[in-house]
Amino acid sequence: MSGPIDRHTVDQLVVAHLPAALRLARRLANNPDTVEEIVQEALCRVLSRWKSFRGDASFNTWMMQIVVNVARDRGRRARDTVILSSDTCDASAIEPDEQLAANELGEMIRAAIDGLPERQREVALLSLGEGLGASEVAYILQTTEANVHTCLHLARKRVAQLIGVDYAQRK
Amino acid sequence: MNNDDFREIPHDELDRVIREALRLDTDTRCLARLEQYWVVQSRRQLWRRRALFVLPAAAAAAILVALLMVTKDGESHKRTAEADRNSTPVQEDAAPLEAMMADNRETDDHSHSAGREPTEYERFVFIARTGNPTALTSLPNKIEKPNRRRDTKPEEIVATIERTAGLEGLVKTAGRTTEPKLRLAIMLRLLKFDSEAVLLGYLSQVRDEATRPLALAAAESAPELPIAELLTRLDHDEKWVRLAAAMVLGHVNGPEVTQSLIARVTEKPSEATEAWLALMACRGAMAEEFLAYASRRPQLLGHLNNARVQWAQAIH
Repeated sequence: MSGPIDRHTVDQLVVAHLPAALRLARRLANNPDTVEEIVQEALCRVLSRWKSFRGDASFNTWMMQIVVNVARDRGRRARDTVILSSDTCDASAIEPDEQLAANELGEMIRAAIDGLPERQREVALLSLGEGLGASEVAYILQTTEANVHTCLHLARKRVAQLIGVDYAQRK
Repeated sequence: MNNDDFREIPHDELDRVIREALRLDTDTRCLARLEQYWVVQSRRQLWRRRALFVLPAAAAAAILVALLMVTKDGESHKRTAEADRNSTPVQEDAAPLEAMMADNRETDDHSHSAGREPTEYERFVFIARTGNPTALTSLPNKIEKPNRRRDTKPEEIVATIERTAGLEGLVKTAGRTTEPKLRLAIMLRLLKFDSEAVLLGYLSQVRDEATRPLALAAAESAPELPIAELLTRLDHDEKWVRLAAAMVLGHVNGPEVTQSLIARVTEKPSEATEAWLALMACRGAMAEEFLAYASRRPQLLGHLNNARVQWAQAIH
């Protein structure tokens, strides 16, 4: 997308990318109580700034950048002990051993990511959580692609160490 | 997959495991709330943007309307201004009618205006006064705004109008002026009935719905109302005159009027429709007794009902 967009298109794009923005806010916030507020504030910023969108990145990327900035502004790293939990996890259910092991692994990984330095955490969540490419992550975090690759490498290494595996480079 | 497989893991596999750990299902309820939030905020912004355009435009339109109203109001004051301030050498400049009556609306501006063109009414009065239409060319193009007198009585104004513009001007002024004291004074002058024209001028005020209430009220307050003249007009050739006279008689009421009306309807019941109307408008006990009596008399009941129908048609 390039060039200025009209209001009707903005409405459509926002609704289309709102699920991704919500997911990202849930990852960044680490606290369910503030997730909705982060997204609401992000939407307000979208409303006030959509005319400045020049199409140098996708609308989704631009909107995610706003979400990240809002989360930063609100001090997303509240350092509470609430750990992101997968919605697929149902603690009351009697799970098979494999599922239980997978859930434990998932919790370890999430805890490991939560413990990363801020920039590495953001890169990991955007790149691995949202599946965004290096250029998009660089745009969102206002950094270079090289920095994104470096942060991602460090994040992987750290997570691997925390979960007790050896992180091997691509062969 | 067991833990041994994780000893050495390519980053692709690690990425897959991390992605799996970070997978989140959509919170549909939260998403719905946020969508609604977006819609609401979006509409608010639209309204705010529209208000940015609408409010200044509305303000500009309001200012324009106010200017137009002020201009119109000024012209309407000019039209009702008093005529011929130069009628007597020693007479001070007469003030416009509205200005003379509205003492309580006097402003602090006592200075003369810069001048204005004579209004239609002033031109009419000037011609009437001089009796020479060609004299209009000598009318000064600019008329100085006269000094306003605070102590001019309505009766004096009425006298001035009648002197300068005649009965016709008086009747016209009654219809145009919005000053209640002046209108009442005009009505009281017309009620003197010193001529047929004056009487018909008054009845024309009764005929006009806009001036009827004041005309009837003036009849009530008139010191000497010529009842006989009004009773005579119940036989006038023109229906509007008969109806107007009936309205006045019915409004004035009183034993003298009621007895005269009863006499008329009993003498010639079929030819006294307006007298029946006047009787129905009377509010006294005598009139009520007679109407009750008439409703029991077949030869009178028909005329009474006919009058009722015509009365309903006349007032609606």
